[in-house]
Amino acid sequence: MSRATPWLAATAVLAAAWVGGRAYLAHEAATRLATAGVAVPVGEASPPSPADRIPDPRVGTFTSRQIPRRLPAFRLRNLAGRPESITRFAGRALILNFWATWCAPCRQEIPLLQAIDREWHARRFTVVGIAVDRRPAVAAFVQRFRIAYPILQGEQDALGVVTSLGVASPAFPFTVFTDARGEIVALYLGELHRPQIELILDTVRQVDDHRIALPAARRAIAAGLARLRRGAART
Amino acid sequence: MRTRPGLADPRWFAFCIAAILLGRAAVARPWWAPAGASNAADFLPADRAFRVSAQLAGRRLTVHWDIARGYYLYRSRISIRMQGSDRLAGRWRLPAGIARTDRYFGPQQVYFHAVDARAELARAPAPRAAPRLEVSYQGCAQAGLCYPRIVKTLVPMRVAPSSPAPVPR
Repeated sequence: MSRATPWLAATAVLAAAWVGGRAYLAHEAATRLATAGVAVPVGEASPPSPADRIPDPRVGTFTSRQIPRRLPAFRLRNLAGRPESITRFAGRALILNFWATWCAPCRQEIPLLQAIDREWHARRFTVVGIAVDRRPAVAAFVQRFRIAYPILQGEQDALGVVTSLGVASPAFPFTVFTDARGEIVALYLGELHRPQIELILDTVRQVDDHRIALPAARRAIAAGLARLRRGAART
Repeated sequence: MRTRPGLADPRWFAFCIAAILLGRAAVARPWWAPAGASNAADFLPADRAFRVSAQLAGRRLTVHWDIARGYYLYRSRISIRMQGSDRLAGRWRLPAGIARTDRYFGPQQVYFHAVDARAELARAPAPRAAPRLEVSYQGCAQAGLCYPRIVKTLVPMRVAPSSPAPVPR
């Protein structure tokens, strides 16, 4: 056996470990939320359209690894139909809530978001609703439920925003939390409840006050959410 | 005489450190794609939450959904359309679902676990002809997440007419 043999073997082991690790990650990503076959969100009573169909379903991914570092700049229309840029809220920590009128948990969490907007507004937090739905349905809903926080609306263009946030296949509601600099701190999938949202907002506030670094904040939120989940499972 | 590197050799120590670092790097988030904290792994992809398949036994068509635990489908949001020239003798039949009152949508019927939609073709299709179905459905996770309407085109799997109810995919 030559002198190089153990080192060649060691290199092969390292390469195998690397490939195995990446394959594991790819598998894990593919089994998380992600589907193909998920159609464009449309109103409950709307007829099927070609855009609703994905004839060649492929498995996409929904992994935290795809969430961008910063909130991408985007423009959507407000309820008056005028384009509005998200940069209008620059300098404030954002709670971007993606929802649709056909989605029951989206509707259920709106009273909480309204309360949070009132309670946290003075602390430089703003809730922005992003309705991925048709404008008439959104406008009627907003009027009926007297939603006071800003609402932006879109269909394919709003789906583009969803994709730019790393969400390959939409499911609603989901909420993106940024700090005042526009760094994405957390993405929460599903209906929010007060303990979860307060945990996230308290941590974002610590980031804005320079009391905690962003990576530590993300870890703290992940650990806190897991703790809340375990607590909920026990009760 | 040259000696081979042994466990006490500092080069092996360096190798072990390198292996640990490399292994950690392999499963770490890439530096170019940092991410916020996310609970995305708490939910199944729609195609895992709702597995749909179709069978044709003689003239009898069955569309079957397997619904993962903790997920449900809305009865009112299931629709099936024949594509092509095949026609049904009658309508699609869905069993009664579990009644639940939605705070916003009013009384609803939902399905947990599994559901079959059944119909009969007006005429038996030619042996090599493949009827196509456009199936659309919408459901949610009980944990508070809803999937947009899913639309799929299915080609039913042919089985012998005497076969029992369809076997999920």
